Amino acid sequence: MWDAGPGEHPDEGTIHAWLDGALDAASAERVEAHVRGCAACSGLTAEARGLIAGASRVVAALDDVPAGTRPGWAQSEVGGSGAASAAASSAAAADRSLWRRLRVTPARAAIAATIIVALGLTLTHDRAAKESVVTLPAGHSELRVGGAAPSVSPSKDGALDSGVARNLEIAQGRPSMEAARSQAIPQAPPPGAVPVETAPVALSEERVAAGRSAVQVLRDTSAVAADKLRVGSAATGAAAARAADEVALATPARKAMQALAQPSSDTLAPVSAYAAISGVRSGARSCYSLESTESGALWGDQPLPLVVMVDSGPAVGTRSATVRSVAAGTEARATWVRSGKDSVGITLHRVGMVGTVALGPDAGGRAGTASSGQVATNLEATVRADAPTRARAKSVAPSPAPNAEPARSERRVPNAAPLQVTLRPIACPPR
Amino acid sequence: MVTPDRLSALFKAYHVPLVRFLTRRLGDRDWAEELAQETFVRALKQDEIASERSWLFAVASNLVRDEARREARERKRHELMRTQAEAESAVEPEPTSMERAEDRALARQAIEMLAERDRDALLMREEGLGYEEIAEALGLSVASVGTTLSRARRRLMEAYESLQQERSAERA
Repeated sequence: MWDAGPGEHPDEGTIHAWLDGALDAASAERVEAHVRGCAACSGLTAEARGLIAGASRVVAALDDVPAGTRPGWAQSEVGGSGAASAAASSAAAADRSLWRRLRVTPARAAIAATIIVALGLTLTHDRAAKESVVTLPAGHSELRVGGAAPSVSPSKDGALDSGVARNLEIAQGRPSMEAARSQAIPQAPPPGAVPVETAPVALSEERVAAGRSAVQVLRDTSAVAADKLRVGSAATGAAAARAADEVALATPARKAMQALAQPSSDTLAPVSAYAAISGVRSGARSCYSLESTESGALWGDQPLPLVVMVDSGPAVGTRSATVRSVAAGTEARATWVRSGKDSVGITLHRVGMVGTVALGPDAGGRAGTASSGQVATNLEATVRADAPTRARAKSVAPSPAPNAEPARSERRVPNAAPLQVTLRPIACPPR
Repeated sequence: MVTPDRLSALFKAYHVPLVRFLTRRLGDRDWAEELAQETFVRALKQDEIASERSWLFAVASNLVRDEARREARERKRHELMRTQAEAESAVEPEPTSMERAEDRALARQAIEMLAERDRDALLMREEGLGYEEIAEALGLSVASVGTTLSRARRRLMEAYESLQQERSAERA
């Protein structure tokens, strides 16, 4: 509010308030009229505009900050005592794990769980209406994704309470497998999703499936990371360290906390975090036939059709898979990724080959394109004038030095043209 | 008591700006995340929150102040060491990175030179808080927020330009 008499100038604070749009309409009008007719105040206003813009720019420069630079004294429990500060400081230096850095106390674990579950419930509710019933191959019953039994599911508060209790367990260091086993949080029910009389069976089946898939995801993630560790003997130390990190971060609960601790503009992140804990949006093992109408069609070095066996895992996201050649009976590992828009990508993991399949939404089957090719791996000696013998040895043994020049190069030779392929569900063959 | 639903809504609406505010205030994202979590924990314990945004920013600001009071001397020393280290480590091969690092170091030094209340008011305003909310969070009258902000902006720019001149003189 600026209510000055004639000839009185607005002070600098009033001009800033005016430029910030914080004055009421009448005051703003008076200031504007005064500034228009007063050279001194006009200059002050121009300067204020510059200060506002300049200060914003300086403040924005503060955003580009690294993490983990907090002083040692501050690495204690927030609001803790000085003695606790010193103790926690030394403990923090000894233990730089994610949990330690996040300082997960029971109270924080409770709020984290509450927020994750509440966000998940809210967002999955929004999406539940859009989810369709996923039809599994013959021999499988229908599994409703994103739906749950309305009459027997616990209330929303019940789900929240169990989420809090579970995260408290996690925070108190319960074994990871136990945390995974308890992941089947029933989702808050959209009305009328499942008939009342079938609800108990459907719910229990869904819980079992969700629990199994959560454990499977855990195993798969760990297995993939462990594979990377093994491959790490042929990679750099840094790559091996990354693989080790992936093993360490494999538990869904940790991923959930990471998602909470690293918020992004992606609004699906809380859903993923929730799904990682609850495992409710999971799919059972399913199998498909990858076919092409083109004669002599190959994916990788195998003729189509191929059987794609997708391990149980999240309905949306990454799952491990096996590709079996019908003709040769050989198998190769692959990765199955289903996006939220129901498109699917399959990536082949076979030594010496590259292969990808991109498929559209499910309409009784999926149509798309497949491409593949050979990877020509060349071993190249990096000969150095000062150490030729050692350099040559690097051509057959991986170099442990992080900055060493690569001794191996890959040359991808893709197929001439992508294949038109279809993927249709089939009954899973015996393992 | 704030309900979980309400808390979830608060988290969605204010977590990002709160962490940004705290990061700008503290210069460390991990630390900012931790204080933001603590802020929401306190919100969970609160019976009722009338003006949510100003309450959250006030609590976050108080948490920073509590920690700063506890070990002000150590923090000052650390800041000086870090600023020096940043300035030294700014000798990087990429000129863009170096300029950004220098800008960041100067901005950090300049913002630390402000009075605490001025700094909080400015950072809250940059997060979009209105004058009423800033007044409520910092215990000021609404009429004095404009004066506080104008002083904060002027002193920030004076400090920043002065530091820039010092840096240029050192190079020359």
